[in-house]
Order: sequence, then C-alpha cells, then structure tokens
Amino acid sequence: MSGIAILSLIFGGLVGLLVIGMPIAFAFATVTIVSIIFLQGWGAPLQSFVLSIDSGVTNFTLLPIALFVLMGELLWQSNIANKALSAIDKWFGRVPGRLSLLSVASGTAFSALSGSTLANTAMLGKMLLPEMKRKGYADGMSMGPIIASGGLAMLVPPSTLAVFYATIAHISIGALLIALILPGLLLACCYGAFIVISCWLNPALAPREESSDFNLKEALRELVIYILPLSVVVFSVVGVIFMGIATPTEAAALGCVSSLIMAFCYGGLSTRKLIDAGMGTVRITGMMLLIMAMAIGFSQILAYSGGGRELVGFVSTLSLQPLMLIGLMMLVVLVLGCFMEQIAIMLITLPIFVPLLKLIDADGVWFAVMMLINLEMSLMTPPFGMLLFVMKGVAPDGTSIGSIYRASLPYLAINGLVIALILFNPWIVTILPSIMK
Amino acid sequence: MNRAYNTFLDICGGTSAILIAFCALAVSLDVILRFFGESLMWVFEVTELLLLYVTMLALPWLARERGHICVDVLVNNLSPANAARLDVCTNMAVAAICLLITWWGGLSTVDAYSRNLTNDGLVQYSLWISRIAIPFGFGLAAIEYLRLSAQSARKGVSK
Repeated sequence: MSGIAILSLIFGGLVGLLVIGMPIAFAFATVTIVSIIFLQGWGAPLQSFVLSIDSGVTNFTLLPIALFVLMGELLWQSNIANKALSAIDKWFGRVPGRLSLLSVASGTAFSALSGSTLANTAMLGKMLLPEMKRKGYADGMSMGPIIASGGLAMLVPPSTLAVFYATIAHISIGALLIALILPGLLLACCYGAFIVISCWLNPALAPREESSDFNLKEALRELVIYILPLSVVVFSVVGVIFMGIATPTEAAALGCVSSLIMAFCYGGLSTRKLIDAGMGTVRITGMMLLIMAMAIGFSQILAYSGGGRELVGFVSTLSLQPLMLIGLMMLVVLVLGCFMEQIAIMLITLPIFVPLLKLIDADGVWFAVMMLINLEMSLMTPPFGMLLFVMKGVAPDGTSIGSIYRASLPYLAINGLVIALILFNPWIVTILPSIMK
Repeated sequence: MNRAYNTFLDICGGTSAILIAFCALAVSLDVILRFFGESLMWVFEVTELLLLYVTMLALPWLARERGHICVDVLVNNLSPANAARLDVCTNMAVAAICLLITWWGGLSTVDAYSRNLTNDGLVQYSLWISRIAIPFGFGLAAIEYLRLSAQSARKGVSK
C-alpha cells in the first residue's frame, strides 16, 4: 500500500472518530495505536508509543500552557477585568459607536492578560450587550465587535494556542508570541476603524449618546488605579520575553505571580475563587497536555507511513507558486475551521504543512501567525463557531443564532483582509522578532 | 463507595492544580534568584516531571467532568436515545484504549524498576517514578469511561 493511501486511511479514520464524538485526545490515540498494530506489529512499538506519552509531556517548553491559563484564571476570578472595563469606558467620550469601540478596546486589553476567548467574549457580552441593546445598537455593532474582540485572546500574548502551535511546528515560542503582538493590534485597529466608519456613514447603527460623560480627572484617576497596574502584568510576560530577560516559560511563571499579587491587592480573590481558578486551570491544561501527549505518537506514525513525504513530493511536482500553496493551506484551515476545533485542526494539518513550508522555504513564524488568525476565524465561522454559541448564551432572550451569524460576518471579512495583508507584507510579523533580544 | 471514589478523583484534580501552582512559584523563584547569582538546579527536571503528573492526575478527573473536548456536531443532531447509544460505544472504545495504554505503561514501569533505569538530567531519579504516572492516570480514566458508558446506557434505556 502506498504511503498516501495509508495517510488517507489514517486521516479518514481520525475524522470518523472525531465526528462520532470521541474526545480529540483519544481519537488520536486510537488511530495511532491501530496504525502501529497494522504497520509495526504488537509489542515493542506499542511500548514505544506509551513512552512517547511520557516524553511528549515532560517538556519544559509546554509549561507556559499551564501557566498562561493560571494567569488568566486568577485575573478573571478576581474581577479586575470588570474594574478595568469601567476605567477604559471613561476614556470614550461621544465617538460614534462608543460602546462598540469600548468592547474592542477592552477585549484587546483583556487579551493581553488572558488567553481565554470564551471568558473574554462571555464577560464582554454580559457587561456590554444589555446596554448596547437598550441604546438601540445594530447587531453588527453590538454582538459583532464583542465576538471579534473576544477572539483576540487566542492571538495576543499570552496565547496558549501559540505555545501549542510552536511546540508542534518546532518554531521558537518566544518569537511567535512576540510576532503576534502587531497583527493582534492591527486586527483591533481594523475592527475599530470599521466601527467608526460604519457609524459615521450610517449613524442609525449605533445611536449617539445625548450627553458627554468625559471627565479628564476621573478618567486619569481610574487609569492610574486600574489600568496602569495591569500593564505590570503585561510587561512581566511580554516585556521580559522581548527584552531577553526570561524565556517564555519563565515569563509565564512571573505573569502568574504578578497576577496573584495584583488579584490580592485589589481584594477580589477569596479562597473559593482561588480554588475555582486552580480547577479552571486544570480543566484546560489537562485537556491540552493530554492532546499534546498523543500528538507525538501520531506524528511519529505519520512519518513512519511515508505518506507525508510522498505528499510533499507530489506537491513539489505541481510547481505551485509559494503564495498559491500558502493560500491553499489557508483555505483548508478555513474549511476545517467551520466544523472542527482548533487544536484538532493544528494536529491534523501541521504534520503535512510544516514539510510543505520547508519545501517552499517559507518563514515558519510568518505562516504561524496567518494560521492562528485563520484559526481565530474558526471561532466565529458559522455554523459551529464556539464564540457564536457563547454569544447566544449571554444575549437577551429572543436573539436568533442567525442574527449572531450575520453580526460576525463583517469581522470575519476583516480577519481575511488582515491575513491577506500579512501574506503580502511579512514584515508586519517579522519586524518585532527581528529586534527582539 | 461511589462517593469515596468521586472524592478521590477530586483529590487527583486538586493535586494537579497544586502542582501547577508549585511549578509557577518554583520557576519564578529561580528567575528571581538568578538576579542574585543563584539558581535552583532542580527546577527544570522537576517541573518537567510534574507536567506529566499534572496531566495524568487531571486525566480521570476531567473524564468524569466530561472535560476532554470533542467534536459534537453529529451527536447534537441525533435523537437523545441514539446519542446515548453512540456515547456508550465511544466511551467503551475510549475505555479499551485507556486499558491498553495502562497495560503497556505498567509493563514499562516494571521494566524501568527491575532494570533500575534512571534519567540522564542534572537531577537524577528512577524512571519508574515518572512512568508509573501513565498506568495510574489511564487506569483510572478507563474506570471512569466505563462508568460513563454505564450512565449513558441507563440514559438510553430510560429514553
């Protein structure tokens, strides 16, 4: 049997198991074990697979996954985010689409503190959506920006998915985290520009408020109390990596400690909340690390089957332009994103994509950023985007899922636009890692 | 019995959380000490080992909490009775995979113990200490998935 036929069987089996609802980690384990038995036989190869679980997880560079999650959980549980949101609100006067812009600004700020897209979206939705609805904001100016900016949490460091990606694709975790800063801010700026222009062209989308609340003294006071201290947390993660003071793992640990100190200083962390933060961390970390443990064995069996090599050889005979090949890879991710979960997409596609990228000599970090933005889109693509359902959960009764789908469409288009912008302007991604110490 | 077992799984999950917090503190302390020219030599190896324990202790607890993510596109569109039947099948399959990993993990642990294998890092420890986490975690997960199968089977019958 040819390598590509084996590869097709492996992927077919995997997709079949995923579709019947088998947990992702065990679907990978099942396919790997069955492939080992058929290709390598019973006995020692299975023992090697079990040992790959050990070597797959006992990896210092995976520790940021746990620590970034813990950091975010501590900050969410302590309610600092609520206070910060109110402080950011003080800085928006009578700009068109004030609440929409507030959701983008605070969504971006919280993204720099936590990697949880679900928590980000749920919190913004709970806090801002009722007021937006009361003031007559259109869906595209209320639910749309909340979904879009909530999704930024998986891009802007600390991003657990970026760590996961970098580990699987064997690229520098620090460089990827730093490379994601500009594209994340670019996305936020594009969302903001879209909101302002749309509301300026059609004021009915977001009715202006009657009186101006802006009070410089009050705004400055809240900035100093609630926003500036949070920048210490952001610096303890991103700043120390950028300045070369600490590795991403060490930066993540410092981020946890500074978040804990911050949470205690603001008095929002009871014993109950501390326990909730810990168990919330275990819930996400345990799930991700188990998938990671299975990924090693899976990629080993893919390599053994020879299918990946044959596929790369086949693609090289097609003489595709590098940009066209990358465009095709992005299309595959986009289509998979409509139906599948991000980690599964990474594990399925990266063992094939990474050799293809080497074939065309593409920058791994540049591609990673585009793929992560694409994966962020999968959180808001109909019909199964997770954030659409989070929004449905926090939206007022009677909000149809169709209206949520429509609200997210312009922001999906913006994401696509930013991917295209990065595709033709790689410096947006490479500039910060190149000046990093 | 059921309650005691559930409490045991809660302890596993809680220990996993404590280990993560310990890793955060240990790595931070190491970074701070580095500024004073000191270093905790054991941090690298110990946190790596603890990551395995974090994963394996969380595994059965997460199974009980149905926290291992899955693609539920098909399952959500089935009738409750069919969804329960499918759930029984997938949980049984997962339990079988867990048992297989438990068996081979157990053999690897015994092998490491009988041959007195050690790791080759700065901090040396017997390899059975790390390997035993695998049959422990997957063994409990197998039990948990069998329990989930039984629950789904009961649910399917009641539909």
